[in-house]
Amino acid sequence: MADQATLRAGMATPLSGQSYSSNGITISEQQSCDKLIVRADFSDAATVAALSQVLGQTPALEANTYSMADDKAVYWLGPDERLVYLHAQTAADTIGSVQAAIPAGKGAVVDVSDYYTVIQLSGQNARDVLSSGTPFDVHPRVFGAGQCAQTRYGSATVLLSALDDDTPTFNVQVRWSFAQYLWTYLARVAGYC
Amino acid sequence: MFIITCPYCGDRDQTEFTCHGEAHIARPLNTESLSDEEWGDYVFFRQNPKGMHRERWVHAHGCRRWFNALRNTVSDEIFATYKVGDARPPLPENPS
Amino acid sequence: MSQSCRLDSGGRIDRSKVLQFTFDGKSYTGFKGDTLASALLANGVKLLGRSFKYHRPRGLIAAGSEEPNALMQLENGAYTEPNTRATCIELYDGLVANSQNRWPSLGFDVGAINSSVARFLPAGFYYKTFMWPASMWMTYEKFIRKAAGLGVSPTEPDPDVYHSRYATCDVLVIGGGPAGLAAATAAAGSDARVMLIDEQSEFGGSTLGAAAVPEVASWVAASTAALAANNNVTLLPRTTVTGYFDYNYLTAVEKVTDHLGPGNGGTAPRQRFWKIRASRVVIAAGSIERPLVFADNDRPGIMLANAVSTYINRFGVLPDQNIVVFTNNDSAYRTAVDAARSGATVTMVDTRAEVSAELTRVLQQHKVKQFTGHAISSVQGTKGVKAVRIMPLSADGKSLQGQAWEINCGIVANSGGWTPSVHMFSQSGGKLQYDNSIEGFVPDPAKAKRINPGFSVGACNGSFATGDCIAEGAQAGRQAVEACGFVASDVAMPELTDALNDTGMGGIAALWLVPTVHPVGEGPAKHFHDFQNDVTAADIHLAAREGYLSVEHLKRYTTTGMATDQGKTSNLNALAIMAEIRGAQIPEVGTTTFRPPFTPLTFGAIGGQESKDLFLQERHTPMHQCHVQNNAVFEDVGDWKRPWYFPHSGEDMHAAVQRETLSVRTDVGMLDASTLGKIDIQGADAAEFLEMIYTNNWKKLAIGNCRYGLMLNEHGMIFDDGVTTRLGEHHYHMTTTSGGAARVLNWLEEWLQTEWPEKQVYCTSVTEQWAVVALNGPKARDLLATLSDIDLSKEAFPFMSMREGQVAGIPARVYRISFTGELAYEINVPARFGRQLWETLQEAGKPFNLCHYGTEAMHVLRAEKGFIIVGQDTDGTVTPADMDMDWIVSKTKPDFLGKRSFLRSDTARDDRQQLVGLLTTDPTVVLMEGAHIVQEIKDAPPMTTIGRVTSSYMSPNLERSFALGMLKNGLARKGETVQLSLMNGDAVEALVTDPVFIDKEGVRVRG
Ligand SMILES: [Zn+2]
Repeated sequence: MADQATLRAGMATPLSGQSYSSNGITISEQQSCDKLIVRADFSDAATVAALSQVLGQTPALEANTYSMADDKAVYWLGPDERLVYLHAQTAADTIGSVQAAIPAGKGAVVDVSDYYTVIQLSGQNARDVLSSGTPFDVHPRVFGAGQCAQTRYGSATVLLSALDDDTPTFNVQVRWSFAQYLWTYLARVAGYC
Repeated sequence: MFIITCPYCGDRDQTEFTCHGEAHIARPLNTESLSDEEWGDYVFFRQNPKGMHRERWVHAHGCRRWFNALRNTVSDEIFATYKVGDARPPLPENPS
Repeated sequence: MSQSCRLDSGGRIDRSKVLQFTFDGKSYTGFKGDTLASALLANGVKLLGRSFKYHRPRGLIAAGSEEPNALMQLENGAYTEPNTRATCIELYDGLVANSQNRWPSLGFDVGAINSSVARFLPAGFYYKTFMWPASMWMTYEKFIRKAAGLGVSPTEPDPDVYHSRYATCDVLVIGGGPAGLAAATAAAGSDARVMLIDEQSEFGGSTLGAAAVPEVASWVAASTAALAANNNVTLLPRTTVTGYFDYNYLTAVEKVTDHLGPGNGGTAPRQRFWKIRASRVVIAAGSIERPLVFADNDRPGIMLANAVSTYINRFGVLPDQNIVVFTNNDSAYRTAVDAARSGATVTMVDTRAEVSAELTRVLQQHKVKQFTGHAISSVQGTKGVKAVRIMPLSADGKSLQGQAWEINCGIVANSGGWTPSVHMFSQSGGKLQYDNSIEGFVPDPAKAKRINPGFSVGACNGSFATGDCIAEGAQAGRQAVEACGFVASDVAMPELTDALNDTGMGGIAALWLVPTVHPVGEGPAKHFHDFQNDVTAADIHLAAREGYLSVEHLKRYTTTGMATDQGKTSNLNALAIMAEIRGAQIPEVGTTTFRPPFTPLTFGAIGGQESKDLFLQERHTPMHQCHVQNNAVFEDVGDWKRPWYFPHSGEDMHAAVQRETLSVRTDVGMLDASTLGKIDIQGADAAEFLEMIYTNNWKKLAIGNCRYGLMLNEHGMIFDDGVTTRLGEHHYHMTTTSGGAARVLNWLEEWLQTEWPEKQVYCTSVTEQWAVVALNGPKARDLLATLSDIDLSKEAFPFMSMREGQVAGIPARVYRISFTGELAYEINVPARFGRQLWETLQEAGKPFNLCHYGTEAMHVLRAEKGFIIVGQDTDGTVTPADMDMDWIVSKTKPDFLGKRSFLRSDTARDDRQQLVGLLTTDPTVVLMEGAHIVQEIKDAPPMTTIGRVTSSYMSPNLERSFALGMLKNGLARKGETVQLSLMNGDAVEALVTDPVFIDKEGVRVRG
């Protein structure tokens, strides 16, 4: 049987962590982190309190926002759905405690660590590159740091999040199978902007 | 190309959504006791009006929530969007 | 050839930058700042093309995008583009243009014979002649296309790249003339995002072609500079708004590098397609001058008055020394003055009997001879105007009588008035109203579409004077930006002192059809209103006589307004002539609805970057690179790239698939099954939910066990299938077909959210979370045992169950399920380990003769077992009973989706098409999928179809061909022989069999 070190060596991301820079933009696949989908009744104060305890933060309660504390980030995906970034390979350790925070049978916690990868766009042209594929308005007045949105980019469903307004920086989360398509798209339009 | 107000996410481009036809069609209970005609009405027949239409949309590329919209099929003006289970908004006084 | 018509000075051209170009193979020079049209005119080239139907010689009419005649085949080879308007092509060095619709040459055109047989080519000619018999249409069509062709499409792939993008703004201003500049200036200044779009290379609109007025010129320059300096303003010159769609969604094409010439744009895209969402739109699109409809008004040299002014003022080109100006309104007096100032001998022919004394005085000052109450009765010259004859016009405008004069001239500058460019307002859904004072349709603000809030200002709103345009623009810009919640800026007004230039159109007295001495259609001359589609006033009379009275009928019958220029110069004239015939008011005849695009655009621009490898979204599994290294040939399944087969060197597809298929049944094979749809289902009501979704029972499924399920829609038809496993008390793992994953998840969610919101069920797609390797074959267990800590014995790990453990040291869920009928394991590991798992299995499998197999072998293997593929063996009209799958339909459940539909008479009848196996009498014949099973073979169709082949392969395991098919009453016909009719006319005989061809008892799969 393989040990943990061998396992780690075998780990892959869809884009092998590649990076691309051209005028005014850097595009790079981020290091992978574990992720959980949490389905629960976020209008229930007790549930939110219990989840806050486990996640170390009040999970984002407003639509189109994310919350962040310590090593975790919580993205609003829908009224009863959040996505938790664990910023480490800790899904296995965390999943039980999150489950325990939700009343039995009245929600779900699903490990989706490998379902998605994250591509980061940074630089003065980042908004133009984003607007080349999505009708979603990424102007800082309507989409500033701390906000996130599920939308589409080209033909892929993505989760956009705004990280920094001064040096425009965005994360684009995409399903593993669409990663190569999205990468090609981003790198192509970066040359046109 | 519409702008549709998702009751959860706000204004978004139409391409994030999919329309699933007429809203407020409840699946009959006790299906076995329905006549073929009654069952056929439920499965096959829809209003398809020229004018105000209540229809079901899903925010497919967004929050994945289903909701209803009140749309004028002639002008494509959407007068309201509302959550499943919410009271039906009244018809507008000036529909076009 | 020197530029004989170029003036020594003046214009917005750079005489120090000489550019070479060729037209119809002949070399010319022009200057930077020229259009192809102005450069040709500078060289005295007036004959530019042949007309569409009659092949009449044609030249320039306009100076802008409304040009109907001067269509060019631009450039050669892969870069060639047909039907480009010479007036919209900025000249660049080395430009190559050719005229269109002529053969063998522009000067001598064989097709011009159409012109001499014109009486046989009236409106509706094509419809009348080629309508019947229908079977001849294919023959006629080739002839028509050849004769009436415009330019030629390129045959090579497009070497250019294109970019498309979205943009959101608060205020979008269409048109960069005085009104648009004022609107943008008013809207800009605070934080509002403003976009200003204009189709020309510079902003300024109509002022660019007008005689220089320093105050206006400096106002334009200052406004443009201020807007350019504002970070919240996007200025897009060389950009045309092509479409105005609902909710203020507009599309525009920016010509990024076209003006540099092909291949000179570096890495920049050739064109950029903008998809813009604007809170408010200010339309400042200007207006288009319309021609007077007079005898032989299509001769080269007969131009719109403002075009002549533009060529003089903007391009420094005086197209002829002798110019006749022919008008029914004041605006053309500017042209007379422009031409006279440039040294031409000018004659003014005004159809109006009364003209203001001031205008007459101005003409006298410039030594322009003036005829009032006169009209042109005929034109001399065919390939170019040589002279015109004028005669006094009767008071009612219906006839000419009295002393005729002949005036030598090379150019007739004519103006029938100005038509507001209401295209955008009309596209936005707004309705028009007729304004008698300007003889044109203008937007009716009360009938604008509410979802498209905006304003029409300036000439497109019927306001022609520069001062009015600026005031209207500023007002609209203010209102627009305030509606978005921003503060408006003040707009400075230029001093307007030049009355002639700033008063707009002046008093117009409509004269829609200039008479000749003959009644319309009877003399030798033609009165054209639609130049590009070659439609004349006589055609409108004919349409009226034949009853095509409404504008929509008129349009389709005569094709007026239906060419690539969309009738920009012709629509109102056509309407008005019809109104006169009917004795009706113009609004009663109606106006056509304008539809996108405003001007033609390239498919390249619309597609943008989403072409070639970005045309479709390719999806890859985590093992994709392994497959590439293993020489896989890929197949598109949904958006997925799946290995179709893995050819060894020297193998063709057939050999590879036969080898792979045999190998799985003799040794062991592995398939990348990661594409299977996977849905995690949790919640207290999950089991109850599955009971409704699937046809069979789920409540009693033990934790750790798997079950195959069929999903039906409410019609009772098979919709998807897959294996679902119970992972915990309230936890299931559902699999779907690869192509059906999204559809199934939507289906589940729609029921949950709209019908059963009270149910505690949570569905999450986990398709990409798991990399899946399907290990199939008699040696699957032995191979897996070398890598896994899971007890694989038959007793500990039976068929249709799932075990968790390690495979190759990777945490895995292993499902003992089979799509081949062989002993099989589907190994699921987190995607990050997919490649490692694949490569480890590949090495460990060598002693077991492990092969890779692709989707084609998978299809053969499953068909040998009679396993259906939803979407291949079913088509949305197939019930479980039709598939002989009654065993999976619960008889005890009170309800499930689709159940009630089984009782419908059509689904309950027993002579429906049903799944059968088919074995051809000749074992080497592989039936074509889709082939019809017929009641009886006849010499030719039609034959009564009683079924069809849905899957058909050659099987190395059966050592013969075999097929699955749907056959009427098929379940009862096993053992019978049926006939199939093939596309090539052959008839084939086949035996109807059970659809399971291998291991009917299912021994292997349970082994
Ligand atoms: Zn939403």
